[in-house]
Amino acid sequence: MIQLQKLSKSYGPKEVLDNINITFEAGKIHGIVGANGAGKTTLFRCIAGLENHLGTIRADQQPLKNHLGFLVTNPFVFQKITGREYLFLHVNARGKTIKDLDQKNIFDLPLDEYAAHYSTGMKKKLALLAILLTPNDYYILDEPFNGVDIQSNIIITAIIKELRALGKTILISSHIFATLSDLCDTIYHLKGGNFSRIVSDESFSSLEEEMREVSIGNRIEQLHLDQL
Amino acid sequence: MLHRQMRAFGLAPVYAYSLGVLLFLVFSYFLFEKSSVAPYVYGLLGLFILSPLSLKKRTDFLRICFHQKDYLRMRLMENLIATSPFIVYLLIEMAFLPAFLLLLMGVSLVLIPIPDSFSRVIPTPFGKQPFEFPVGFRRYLGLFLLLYFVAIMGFSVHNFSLVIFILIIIFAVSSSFYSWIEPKYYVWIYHFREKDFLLSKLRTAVQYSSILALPVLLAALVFFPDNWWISILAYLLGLVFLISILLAKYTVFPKQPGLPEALLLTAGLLFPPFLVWLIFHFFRKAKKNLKPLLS
Repeated sequence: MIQLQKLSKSYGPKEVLDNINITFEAGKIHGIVGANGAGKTTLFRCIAGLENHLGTIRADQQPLKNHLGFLVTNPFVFQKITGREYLFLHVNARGKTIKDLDQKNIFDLPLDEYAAHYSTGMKKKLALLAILLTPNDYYILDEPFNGVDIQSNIIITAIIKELRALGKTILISSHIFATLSDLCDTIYHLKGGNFSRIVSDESFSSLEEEMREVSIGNRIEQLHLDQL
Repeated sequence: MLHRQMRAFGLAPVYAYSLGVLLFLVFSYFLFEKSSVAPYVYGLLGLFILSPLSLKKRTDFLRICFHQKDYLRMRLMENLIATSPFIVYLLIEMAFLPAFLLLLMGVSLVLIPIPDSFSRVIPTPFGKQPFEFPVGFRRYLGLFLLLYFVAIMGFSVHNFSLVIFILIIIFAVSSSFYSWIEPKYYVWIYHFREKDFLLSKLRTAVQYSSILALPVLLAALVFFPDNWWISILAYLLGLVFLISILLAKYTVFPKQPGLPEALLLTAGLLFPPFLVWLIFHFFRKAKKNLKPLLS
């Protein structure tokens, strides 16, 4: 369980998160949707403790950061470091050792090549593997399907479902609504610095419809594609 | 961009350039005074400074932005400006061949870009504890090979000063591995308390820099047994300086260390016993600075 109380975050005069009060229950997948710049990544970074913020964040395991696997949107990989060394770095940081690493390489990544030469999807899979190799109770997965191939997409979906079955608390964001509606127990629409709608699975289609209407509106007509 | 970096460091460009020229002259004077292979070390240093300007990614970008003629003119100017202090000093020292070779290299690199990275993975003994040493060792492998080569030349001509100079340079290069600031995430992932985080970083730095320095140190102890205490002292000073640099980085992390840290480190270099106090000072400050991120 992760509980946010009066969570606010501003960058100068710009308020990105405005007095958020919410509880993310354990054993569930919580999907966060919102337009670009709505504050999803800021929310995740605040929960992780990577950003200063107002308000409190509670969790049943303390300190939260030591029990959190955080997959960032664009994982940074060092130049001239191999995939295997990247994984060592993460596991060492948790004071653990890895046994049977090659067997655990479920995405068949070329671990002995420089990670900086990996494609976007491969980097994402490497970063995900790094957090799966360490014990965590909470997972924040920021765009886990970004750039990932179909086969890995299926594997990642299965992993997330398995984590839910193990009672983990999972927060996930995606720009692909269908991915979230297939996976999540609850979807939260982040808009104007707070959750404008919180819907459970039976109402996902109405949320998608609402988002489509708001997003598209008459924007396509404004392009006048038929007159080009 | 260079001026912006100077200002961020806390120095107005006019002072930064003056300081740069002064340090360059002092370094050059001592290098030529103390070493017979100085012209070649010096020529290679010039090449080392030249290489980032000629990286393929950079030159490709410039080619897109400028017409071919302007591009060539600009690249030639860049390379000549970068190498000219070295060429001028080499000419003053009557080292005509290294000066000519460096000039030739400067002109050639206008036409032949250096690949950004080679896909072939360089094996490293440091892979178990990433990231500073595996990255730094691979990036500066050529420089380390050169340093070992110069050290061998030092032994062959029985030049103890040159050997000690190389030993210190090994630590200076190892310290430069800590000049790059990693994203906050790569400190955040640590489960350790601030003190344990710093101690684990220090342990790795001491262990791995010693692996790089030991071949030269051990050979110095064997070939110059009478000067054993100078060799040990240089090794310990190198370690103390490396530790100070590492801790200085985390006193202001995730910002780049600025003028105050640089001044304290310079004072430590000029008066080494001060480094001992500095280590404790930086350790306390780094612990405090890292607390919000690690606790």
